[in-house]
Amino acid sequence: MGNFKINLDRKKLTKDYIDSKQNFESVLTKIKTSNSTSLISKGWFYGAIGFASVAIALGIYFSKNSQPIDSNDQIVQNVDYVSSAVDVAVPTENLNNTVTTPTVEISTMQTSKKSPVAEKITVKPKQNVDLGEKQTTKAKEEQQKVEENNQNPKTTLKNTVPSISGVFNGDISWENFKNSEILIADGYRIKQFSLYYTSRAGDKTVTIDGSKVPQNILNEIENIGLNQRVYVTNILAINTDNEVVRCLSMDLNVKFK
Amino acid sequence: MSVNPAYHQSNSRMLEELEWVQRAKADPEQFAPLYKKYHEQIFRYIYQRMDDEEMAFDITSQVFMKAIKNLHKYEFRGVPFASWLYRIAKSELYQSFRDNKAIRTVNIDTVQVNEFIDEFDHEESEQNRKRLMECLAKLNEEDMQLLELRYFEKRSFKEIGEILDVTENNAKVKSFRAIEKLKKIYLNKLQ
Repeated sequence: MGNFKINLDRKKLTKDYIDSKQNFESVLTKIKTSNSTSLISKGWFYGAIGFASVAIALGIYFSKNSQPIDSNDQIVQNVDYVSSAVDVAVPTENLNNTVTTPTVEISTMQTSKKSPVAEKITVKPKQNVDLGEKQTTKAKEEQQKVEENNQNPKTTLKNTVPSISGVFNGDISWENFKNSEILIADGYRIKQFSLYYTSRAGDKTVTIDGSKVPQNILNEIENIGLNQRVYVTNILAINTDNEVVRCLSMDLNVKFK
Repeated sequence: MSVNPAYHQSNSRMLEELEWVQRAKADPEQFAPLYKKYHEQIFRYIYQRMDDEEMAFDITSQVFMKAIKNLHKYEFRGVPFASWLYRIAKSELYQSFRDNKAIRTVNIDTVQVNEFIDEFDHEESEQNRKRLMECLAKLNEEDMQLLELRYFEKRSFKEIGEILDVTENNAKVKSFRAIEKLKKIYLNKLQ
Protein backbone atom coordinates (compact mmCIF):
# COMPACT_ATOMS: atom_id res chain seq x y z
CA MET A 1 0.00 0.00 0.00
CA GLY A 2 1.55 3.29 -1.10
CA ASN A 3 1.03 6.91 -0.14
CA PHE A 4 -0.84 7.72 -3.35
CA LYS A 5 -3.45 6.35 -5.67
CA ILE A 6 -1.95 6.16 -9.16
CA ASN A 7 -4.23 6.52 -12.18
CA LEU A 8 -2.83 5.56 -15.56
CA ASP A 9 -4.08 7.24 -18.74
CA ARG A 10 -7.12 8.95 -17.26
CA LYS A 11 -9.31 10.62 -19.86
CA LYS A 12 -8.16 14.19 -20.41
CA LEU A 13 -10.60 17.06 -20.23
CA THR A 14 -10.64 19.49 -23.14
CA LYS A 15 -9.99 23.19 -22.77
CA ASP A 16 -13.48 23.98 -24.07
CA TYR A 17 -15.07 21.76 -21.45
CA ILE A 18 -13.10 23.37 -18.63
CA ASP A 19 -13.82 26.85 -19.95
CA SER A 20 -17.53 26.03 -20.11
CA LYS A 21 -17.42 25.52 -16.34
CA GLN A 22 -16.12 29.03 -15.71
CA ASN A 23 -18.56 31.01 -13.61
CA PHE A 24 -17.10 34.20 -12.22
CA GLU A 25 -20.53 35.50 -11.21
CA SER A 26 -21.05 32.60 -8.81
CA VAL A 27 -17.61 33.25 -7.26
CA LEU A 28 -18.58 36.88 -6.65
CA THR A 29 -21.96 35.87 -5.25
CA LYS A 30 -20.33 33.39 -2.87
CA ILE A 31 -17.95 36.10 -1.67
CA LYS A 32 -20.83 38.48 -1.03
CA THR A 33 -22.76 35.77 0.82
CA SER A 34 -19.79 34.76 2.92
CA ASN A 35 -19.06 38.41 3.74
CA SER A 36 -22.57 38.89 5.08
CA THR A 37 -22.38 35.78 7.27
CA SER A 38 -18.74 36.06 8.21
CA LEU A 39 -19.36 38.09 11.38
CA ILE A 40 -21.64 35.42 12.83
CA SER A 41 -19.38 32.58 11.81
CA LYS A 42 -16.26 34.02 13.43
CA GLY A 43 -15.24 32.83 16.86
CA TRP A 44 -14.10 36.23 18.05
CA PHE A 45 -17.63 37.55 17.54
CA TYR A 46 -18.99 35.14 20.15
CA GLY A 47 -15.93 35.73 22.29
CA ALA A 48 -16.61 39.46 22.29
CA ILE A 49 -20.25 38.93 23.21
CA GLY A 50 -19.27 36.55 25.99
CA PHE A 51 -16.65 38.94 27.31
CA ALA A 52 -19.09 41.85 27.24
CA SER A 53 -21.72 39.77 29.08
CA VAL A 54 -19.24 38.79 31.81
CA ALA A 55 -18.09 42.41 32.12
CA ILE A 56 -21.68 43.64 32.48
CA ALA A 57 -22.49 40.93 35.04
CA LEU A 58 -19.40 41.79 37.08
CA GLY A 59 -20.21 45.49 36.82
CA ILE A 60 -23.71 44.94 38.17
CA TYR A 61 -22.42 42.65 40.92
CA PHE A 62 -19.78 45.11 42.14
CA SER A 63 -22.04 48.14 41.84
CA LYS A 64 -24.59 46.38 44.08
CA ASN A 65 -22.00 45.38 46.64
CA SER A 66 -20.42 48.82 46.78
CA GLN A 67 -23.67 50.52 47.90
CA PRO A 68 -23.28 51.80 51.50
CA ILE A 69 -25.39 50.16 54.13
CA ASP A 70 -27.04 53.16 55.68
CA SER A 71 -30.65 52.16 56.03
CA ASN A 72 -32.54 49.40 57.69
CA ASP A 73 -34.02 48.31 54.34
CA GLN A 74 -30.60 47.57 52.91
CA ILE A 75 -29.65 45.55 55.96
CA VAL A 76 -32.78 43.50 55.41
CA GLN A 77 -31.83 43.02 51.72
CA ASN A 78 -28.37 41.79 52.63
CA VAL A 79 -29.75 39.42 55.20
CA ASP A 80 -32.07 38.03 52.53
CA TYR A 81 -29.02 37.32 50.46
CA VAL A 82 -27.44 35.24 53.26
CA SER A 83 -30.28 32.84 53.87
CA SER A 84 -33.72 32.00 52.72
CA ALA A 85 -35.07 31.59 56.22
CA VAL A 86 -34.37 34.91 57.91
CA ASP A 87 -36.15 36.81 60.60
CA VAL A 88 -35.15 40.42 60.99
CA ALA A 89 -35.90 42.37 64.12
CA VAL A 90 -35.40 46.07 63.57
CA PRO A 91 -35.86 48.37 66.56
CA THR A 92 -37.84 51.49 65.74
CA GLU A 93 -37.05 53.42 68.92
CA ASN A 94 -34.05 55.72 69.43
CA LEU A 95 -34.13 57.07 65.89
CA ASN A 96 -34.32 60.71 66.89
CA ASN A 97 -30.75 61.66 67.42
CA THR A 98 -28.82 58.44 67.72
CA VAL A 99 -28.79 55.76 65.12
CA THR A 100 -28.46 52.36 66.70
CA THR A 101 -27.20 49.67 64.43
CA PRO A 102 -30.08 47.24 64.58
CA THR A 103 -29.83 43.84 66.14
CA VAL A 104 -30.41 41.30 63.45
CA GLU A 105 -31.61 37.87 64.33
CA ILE A 106 -31.14 35.30 61.62
CA SER A 107 -32.71 31.88 61.76
CA THR A 108 -31.02 29.45 59.47
CA MET A 109 -32.09 25.90 58.75
CA GLN A 110 -29.20 23.57 59.29
CA THR A 111 -29.45 20.39 57.32
CA SER A 112 -28.01 17.36 59.04
CA LYS A 113 -28.34 13.66 58.52
CA LYS A 114 -30.66 13.32 61.50
CA SER A 115 -33.17 16.15 61.25
CA PRO A 116 -33.25 19.83 60.33
CA VAL A 117 -32.43 22.08 63.31
CA ALA A 118 -33.31 25.74 63.50
CA GLU A 119 -30.41 27.82 64.81
CA LYS A 120 -30.64 31.44 65.85
CA ILE A 121 -27.76 33.78 65.14
CA THR A 122 -27.74 37.18 66.76
CA VAL A 123 -25.73 39.95 65.12
CA LYS A 124 -24.91 42.56 67.76
CA PRO A 125 -24.06 46.19 66.98
CA LYS A 126 -20.39 47.02 67.39
CA GLN A 127 -20.91 50.60 68.51
CA ASN A 128 -23.42 53.39 68.44
CA VAL A 129 -22.61 56.60 66.59
CA ASP A 130 -24.03 59.95 67.55
CA LEU A 131 -25.50 61.42 64.33
CA GLY A 132 -25.32 65.04 65.47
CA GLU A 133 -21.68 64.66 66.46
CA LYS A 134 -20.93 63.05 63.09
CA GLN A 135 -22.52 65.92 61.17
CA THR A 136 -20.61 68.51 63.20
CA THR A 137 -17.30 66.76 62.53
CA LYS A 138 -18.02 66.65 58.83
CA ALA A 139 -18.91 70.34 58.68
CA LYS A 140 -15.74 71.21 60.59
CA GLU A 141 -13.63 69.21 58.16
CA GLU A 142 -15.21 70.94 55.18
CA GLN A 143 -14.70 74.35 56.69
CA GLN A 144 -11.07 73.49 57.36
CA LYS A 145 -10.65 72.46 53.73
CA VAL A 146 -12.10 75.75 52.49
CA GLU A 147 -9.75 77.69 54.74
CA GLU A 148 -6.78 75.69 53.46
CA ASN A 149 -7.81 76.36 49.88
CA ASN A 150 -8.04 80.06 50.58
CA GLN A 151 -4.54 80.06 51.98
CA ASN A 152 -3.04 78.05 49.08
CA PRO A 153 -4.89 78.98 45.89
CA LYS A 154 -5.26 76.13 43.40
CA THR A 155 -3.93 76.10 39.88
CA THR A 156 -6.42 77.83 37.64
CA LEU A 157 -7.25 76.72 34.13
CA LYS A 158 -6.70 79.43 31.63
CA ASN A 159 -7.33 79.35 27.90
CA THR A 160 -3.75 80.31 27.25
CA VAL A 161 -2.53 78.86 23.99
CA PRO A 162 1.04 77.63 24.18
CA SER A 163 3.08 77.05 21.05
CA ILE A 164 6.36 75.72 19.83
CA SER A 165 7.78 77.76 16.99
CA GLY A 166 4.32 79.21 16.44
CA VAL A 167 2.64 75.80 16.21
CA PHE A 168 -0.04 74.92 18.76
CA ASN A 169 -1.66 72.00 17.00
CA GLY A 170 -0.77 69.99 13.91
CA ASP A 171 2.35 69.55 11.82
CA ILE A 172 5.69 70.84 13.01
CA SER A 173 9.05 70.19 11.37
CA TRP A 174 11.63 68.25 13.36
CA GLU A 175 14.07 71.15 13.19
CA ASN A 176 11.57 73.58 14.70
CA PHE A 177 10.52 71.10 17.36
CA LYS A 178 14.12 70.37 18.28
CA ASN A 179 15.36 73.94 18.44
CA SER A 180 12.41 75.79 19.95
CA GLU A 181 10.82 75.91 23.36
CA ILE A 182 7.24 76.19 24.54
CA LEU A 183 6.08 79.79 24.59
CA ILE A 184 2.90 81.38 25.90
CA ALA A 185 1.51 84.86 26.52
CA ASP A 186 3.73 87.65 27.85
CA GLY A 187 4.17 87.71 31.59
CA TYR A 188 4.06 83.93 31.90
CA ARG A 189 6.78 81.35 31.78
CA ILE A 190 6.42 77.58 31.47
CA LYS A 191 7.09 75.83 34.76
CA GLN A 192 6.40 72.22 33.92
CA PHE A 193 4.79 70.01 31.28
CA SER A 194 4.23 66.35 30.40
CA LEU A 195 5.40 64.94 27.10
CA TYR A 196 3.98 61.84 25.47
CA TYR A 197 6.18 60.47 22.68
CA THR A 198 7.32 57.23 21.06
CA SER A 199 10.84 55.90 21.51
CA ARG A 200 12.43 52.62 20.48
CA ALA A 201 11.47 51.26 23.89
CA GLY A 202 7.81 52.09 23.24
CA ASP A 203 5.46 54.91 24.14
CA LYS A 204 6.56 57.09 27.04
CA THR A 205 5.11 59.92 29.09
CA VAL A 206 7.57 62.06 31.01
CA THR A 207 7.16 65.13 33.18
CA ILE A 208 9.63 67.88 32.32
CA ASP A 209 10.54 70.98 34.31
CA GLY A 210 11.13 74.08 32.24
CA SER A 211 9.99 74.98 28.78
CA LYS A 212 12.31 72.97 26.56
CA VAL A 213 12.35 69.28 25.65
CA PRO A 214 15.60 67.83 27.07
CA GLN A 215 18.29 66.66 24.68
CA ASN A 216 18.12 62.98 25.75
CA ILE A 217 14.43 62.85 24.80
CA LEU A 218 15.12 64.63 21.52
CA ASN A 219 17.77 61.98 20.84
CA GLU A 220 15.27 59.19 21.50
CA ILE A 221 12.77 60.72 19.07
CA GLU A 222 15.49 61.32 16.50
CA ASN A 223 16.71 57.71 16.81
CA ILE A 224 13.37 56.49 15.50
CA GLY A 225 13.52 59.10 12.76
CA LEU A 226 9.90 58.67 11.74
CA ASN A 227 7.05 61.15 11.77
CA GLN A 228 5.23 60.79 15.06
CA ARG A 229 2.44 62.23 17.19
CA VAL A 230 3.69 64.07 20.27
CA TYR A 231 1.31 65.27 22.98
CA VAL A 232 2.28 68.08 25.33
CA THR A 233 -0.10 68.04 28.28
CA ASN A 234 -0.37 69.33 31.85
CA ILE A 235 1.38 72.53 30.83
CA LEU A 236 1.78 74.64 33.94
CA ALA A 237 2.84 78.26 33.57
CA ILE A 238 3.63 80.82 36.25
CA ASN A 239 3.35 84.62 36.15
CA THR A 240 5.20 87.34 37.99
CA ASP A 241 2.70 87.16 40.89
CA ASN A 242 3.52 83.46 41.29
CA GLU A 243 0.06 82.56 40.03
CA VAL A 244 0.08 79.12 38.43
CA VAL A 245 -2.11 78.51 35.39
CA ARG A 246 -2.75 75.35 33.48
CA CYS A 247 -2.60 75.88 29.71
CA LEU A 248 -4.29 74.05 26.86
CA SER A 249 -2.65 70.79 25.76
CA MET A 250 -0.81 70.57 22.47
CA ASP A 251 -1.18 67.85 19.86
CA LEU A 252 1.78 67.99 17.50
CA ASN A 253 2.68 65.91 14.48
CA VAL A 254 6.47 65.99 14.30
CA LYS A 255 7.56 65.64 10.70
CA PHE A 256 11.02 64.54 9.73
CA LYS A 257 10.54 65.18 6.01
CA MET B 1 12.49 18.07 -22.07
CA SER B 2 9.92 20.51 -23.48
CA VAL B 3 8.51 23.02 -21.03
CA ASN B 4 4.89 24.07 -20.61
CA PRO B 5 4.66 27.62 -22.05
CA ALA B 6 1.43 28.60 -20.26
CA TYR B 7 3.21 30.02 -17.26
CA HIS B 8 5.96 32.00 -18.95
CA GLN B 9 5.27 35.64 -19.43
CA SER B 10 6.98 38.76 -20.62
CA ASN B 11 7.49 41.66 -18.24
CA SER B 12 4.83 43.68 -20.03
CA ARG B 13 2.31 40.86 -19.46
CA MET B 14 3.21 40.72 -15.78
CA LEU B 15 2.76 44.48 -15.47
CA GLU B 16 -0.58 44.21 -17.20
CA GLU B 17 -1.53 41.57 -14.63
CA LEU B 18 -0.39 43.85 -11.85
CA GLU B 19 -2.67 46.55 -13.17
CA TRP B 20 -5.59 44.08 -13.13
CA VAL B 21 -4.69 43.18 -9.56
CA GLN B 22 -4.64 46.83 -8.49
CA ARG B 23 -8.02 47.38 -10.09
CA ALA B 24 -9.42 44.21 -8.48
CA LYS B 25 -8.22 45.38 -5.08
CA ALA B 26 -10.55 48.35 -5.43
CA ASP B 27 -13.39 46.44 -7.08
CA PRO B 28 -13.60 42.59 -6.96
CA GLU B 29 -15.52 42.55 -10.25
CA GLN B 30 -12.33 43.72 -11.93
CA PHE B 31 -10.80 40.34 -11.08
CA ALA B 32 -12.63 38.82 -14.08
CA PRO B 33 -9.66 38.93 -16.53
CA LEU B 34 -7.42 37.14 -14.01
CA TYR B 35 -10.11 34.53 -13.39
CA LYS B 36 -10.52 33.97 -17.11
CA LYS B 37 -6.79 33.71 -17.63
CA TYR B 38 -5.99 31.30 -14.82
CA HIS B 39 -9.14 29.23 -14.35
CA GLU B 40 -8.00 26.40 -16.61
CA GLN B 41 -4.44 26.27 -15.23
CA ILE B 42 -5.59 26.16 -11.63
CA PHE B 43 -8.28 23.58 -12.39
CA ARG B 44 -5.79 21.32 -14.17
CA TYR B 45 -3.34 21.64 -11.26
CA ILE B 46 -6.06 20.56 -8.82
CA TYR B 47 -7.65 17.86 -10.99
CA GLN B 48 -4.22 16.35 -11.65
CA ARG B 49 -4.05 15.57 -7.93
CA MET B 50 -7.53 14.23 -7.29
CA ASP B 51 -10.18 11.92 -8.73
CA ASP B 52 -13.41 13.81 -8.29
CA GLU B 53 -13.97 16.18 -11.21
CA GLU B 54 -16.87 18.10 -9.60
CA MET B 55 -14.91 18.57 -6.44
CA ALA B 56 -11.95 19.82 -8.48
CA PHE B 57 -14.20 22.51 -9.99
CA ASP B 58 -15.50 23.40 -6.52
CA ILE B 59 -11.99 23.73 -5.13
CA THR B 60 -11.03 25.86 -8.13
CA SER B 61 -13.88 28.23 -7.25
CA GLN B 62 -12.71 28.22 -3.64
CA VAL B 63 -9.21 29.18 -4.76
CA PHE B 64 -10.49 32.22 -6.65
CA MET B 65 -12.77 33.18 -3.78
CA LYS B 66 -9.84 33.08 -1.38
CA ALA B 67 -7.68 35.00 -3.83
CA ILE B 68 -10.25 37.80 -4.19
CA LYS B 69 -10.84 37.95 -0.44
CA ASN B 70 -7.15 38.11 0.35
CA LEU B 71 -6.10 40.23 -2.59
CA HIS B 72 -5.22 43.11 -0.26
CA LYS B 73 -2.42 40.90 1.14
CA TYR B 74 -0.92 40.19 -2.29
CA GLU B 75 2.42 41.81 -2.98
CA PHE B 76 4.00 41.86 -6.41
CA ARG B 77 7.42 40.17 -6.26
CA GLY B 78 8.30 40.18 -9.92
CA VAL B 79 6.75 36.77 -10.58
CA PRO B 80 3.49 35.92 -12.34
CA PHE B 81 0.30 36.21 -10.33
CA ALA B 82 -0.23 32.50 -10.99
CA SER B 83 2.43 31.50 -8.45
CA TRP B 84 0.30 33.06 -5.70
CA LEU B 85 -2.78 31.28 -7.02
CA TYR B 86 -0.93 27.95 -7.11
CA ARG B 87 0.01 28.36 -3.46
CA ILE B 88 -3.62 28.99 -2.53
CA ALA B 89 -4.63 26.03 -4.69
CA LYS B 90 -2.17 23.76 -2.92
CA SER B 91 -3.45 24.84 0.49
CA GLU B 92 -7.11 24.38 -0.51
CA LEU B 93 -6.38 21.02 -2.08
CA TYR B 94 -4.74 19.60 1.03
CA GLN B 95 -7.49 21.06 3.18
CA SER B 96 -10.00 19.20 1.02
CA PHE B 97 -8.04 15.93 1.46
CA ARG B 98 -8.15 16.42 5.23
CA ASP B 99 -11.84 17.36 5.29
CA ASN B 100 -12.97 14.51 3.06
CA LYS B 101 -10.37 11.99 4.25
CA ALA B 102 -9.61 11.49 0.57
CA ILE B 103 -6.42 9.90 -0.69
CA ARG B 104 -4.04 11.93 -2.81
CA THR B 105 -4.16 10.90 -6.44
CA VAL B 106 -1.44 10.96 -9.08
CA ASN B 107 -2.45 10.93 -12.72
CA ILE B 108 0.11 9.71 -15.16
CA ASP B 109 0.27 8.71 -18.83
CA THR B 110 1.89 5.60 -20.26
CA VAL B 111 4.17 7.91 -22.23
CA GLN B 112 5.43 9.53 -19.04
CA VAL B 113 5.96 6.15 -17.37
CA ASN B 114 7.98 5.06 -20.38
CA GLU B 115 10.10 8.22 -20.16
CA PHE B 116 11.07 7.28 -16.61
CA ILE B 117 11.85 3.69 -17.60
CA ASP B 118 14.03 5.01 -20.45
CA GLU B 119 15.84 7.27 -18.01
CA PHE B 120 16.56 4.25 -15.81
CA ASP B 121 17.92 2.38 -18.92
CA HIS B 122 15.33 -0.33 -18.76
CA GLU B 123 13.08 -1.96 -21.29
CA GLU B 124 9.56 -0.53 -21.76
CA SER B 125 7.48 -3.51 -20.73
CA GLU B 126 4.16 -3.92 -18.98
CA GLN B 127 5.91 -5.47 -16.01
CA ASN B 128 8.36 -2.57 -15.69
CA ARG B 129 5.52 -0.03 -16.01
CA LYS B 130 3.64 -1.75 -13.18
CA ARG B 131 6.80 -1.85 -11.10
CA LEU B 132 7.47 1.85 -11.64
CA MET B 133 3.93 2.77 -10.63
CA GLU B 134 4.33 0.80 -7.41
CA CYS B 135 7.57 2.69 -6.75
CA LEU B 136 5.91 6.06 -7.42
CA ALA B 137 3.25 5.27 -4.83
CA LYS B 138 5.99 4.78 -2.25
CA LEU B 139 7.48 8.27 -2.62
CA ASN B 140 6.84 10.90 -0.02
CA GLU B 141 4.65 13.93 -0.74
CA GLU B 142 7.48 16.37 -1.32
CA ASP B 143 9.27 14.17 -3.84
CA MET B 144 6.05 13.32 -5.61
CA GLN B 145 5.17 16.98 -5.87
CA LEU B 146 8.51 17.76 -7.49
CA LEU B 147 8.24 14.89 -9.98
CA GLU B 148 4.69 15.90 -10.85
CA LEU B 149 5.59 19.53 -11.44
CA ARG B 150 8.73 18.74 -13.39
CA TYR B 151 8.05 15.52 -15.31
CA PHE B 152 4.26 15.19 -15.54
CA GLU B 153 3.33 18.83 -15.91
CA LYS B 154 6.55 19.84 -17.72
CA ARG B 155 7.20 22.99 -15.72
CA SER B 156 10.48 24.87 -15.71
CA PHE B 157 12.65 24.93 -12.58
CA LYS B 158 12.01 28.67 -12.33
CA GLU B 159 8.28 28.09 -12.22
CA ILE B 160 8.62 25.19 -9.76
CA GLY B 161 10.69 27.46 -7.53
CA GLU B 162 8.03 30.16 -7.65
CA ILE B 163 5.20 27.75 -6.90
CA LEU B 164 7.05 26.06 -4.02
CA ASP B 165 8.58 29.34 -2.83
CA VAL B 166 12.17 28.12 -3.22
CA THR B 167 14.96 29.30 -5.49
CA GLU B 168 15.26 28.02 -9.04
CA ASN B 169 18.50 26.26 -8.11
CA ASN B 170 16.96 24.65 -5.07
CA ALA B 171 14.06 23.41 -7.19
CA LYS B 172 16.58 21.88 -9.61
CA VAL B 173 18.54 20.12 -6.83
CA LYS B 174 15.38 18.85 -5.13
CA SER B 175 13.95 17.53 -8.42
CA PHE B 176 17.19 15.72 -9.15
CA ARG B 177 17.19 14.14 -5.69
CA ALA B 178 13.56 13.08 -6.11
CA ILE B 179 14.27 11.29 -9.39
CA GLU B 180 17.34 9.64 -7.83
CA LYS B 181 15.20 8.43 -4.95
CA LEU B 182 12.65 6.96 -7.38
CA LYS B 183 15.43 5.27 -9.31
CA LYS B 184 16.83 3.75 -6.13
CA ILE B 185 13.43 2.36 -5.10
CA TYR B 186 12.90 1.02 -8.64
CA LEU B 187 16.29 -0.71 -8.82
CA ASN B 188 15.86 -2.18 -5.33
CA LYS B 189 12.57 -3.65 -6.47
CA LEU B 190 14.32 -5.40 -9.36
CA GLN B 191 16.73 -7.21 -7.06
